[in-house]
Amino acid sequence: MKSNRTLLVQLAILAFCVLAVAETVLNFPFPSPLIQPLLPPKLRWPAAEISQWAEAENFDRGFLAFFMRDPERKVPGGDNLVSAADGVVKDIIYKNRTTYFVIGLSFWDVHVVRTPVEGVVRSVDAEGLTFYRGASESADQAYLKGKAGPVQQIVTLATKYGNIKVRLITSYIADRLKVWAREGQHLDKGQRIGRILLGSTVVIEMPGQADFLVHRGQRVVAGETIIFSGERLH
Amino acid sequence: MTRFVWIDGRFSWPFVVFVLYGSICVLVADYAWRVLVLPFDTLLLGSIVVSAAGALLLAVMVFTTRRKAGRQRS
Repeated sequence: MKSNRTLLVQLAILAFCVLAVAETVLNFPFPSPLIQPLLPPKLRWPAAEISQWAEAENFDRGFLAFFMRDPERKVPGGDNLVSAADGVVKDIIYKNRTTYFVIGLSFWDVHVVRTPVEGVVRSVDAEGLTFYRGASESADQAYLKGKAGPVQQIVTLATKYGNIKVRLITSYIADRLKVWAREGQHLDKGQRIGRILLGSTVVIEMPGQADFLVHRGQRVVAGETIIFSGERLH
Repeated sequence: MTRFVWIDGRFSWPFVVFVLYGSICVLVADYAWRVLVLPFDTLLLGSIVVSAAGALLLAVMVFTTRRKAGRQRS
């Protein structure tokens, strides 16, 4: 009787061992579910694996729950502009009396987009729902180059700094943008305006030039990182 | 050799522990490869050295326990 119980315990241990090795081999080069919880998000869900899911339109539930997170943010007071998205500052371009503040989002960033400053929504425009052609307004924009058919929604805000546009951009393949802001709606600084449903770009477009407090390559947090401080852009 | 795997209608404990140790080593090596971002040859060499040292320690512990048990019996 005791021998039988011992055998059962041993079989359970050996079954775990077989499962552990099989999971490692079958999931390679992606991590096995047994070590996934111990890994940081970037290693837990590698980019190559997420791309595969995107193509198959079948995402891992754990990743989706992580991707859909929407943490609260401590919005700083005062005369300033805050970042509209989580990510890395890809570029700050001044062109035709307009500054384009480009933030690149990775798969692992929070994808909720926030207002950089208090204002009233003047319009919400969808653009580029098909592949951009050479004649398109945006075809020559530096931040759109390298994207296969960018799709965007532009939220224009009337603010004390003038009209500020927040562009939510994703690729034609992903084509998933959600904008909650409605025309005429008054929005506070750092308020949620929408969500990009797959890694892409957010551009804050503002009139005039400004001395930004952040530089290219710096990581920014939506609604928290102050990107410009002052009463007016120049 | 068979006694090392199967004894008295059950698996021998050193065999079970050896298999368990091996699979834990696989998991740890996989984790280390992802987190430490080491060159593959360095990781492989390191894993072999660490696993062998662990296995040796385990073998010494089993041997010592068995010798003590044998002395007590006699």
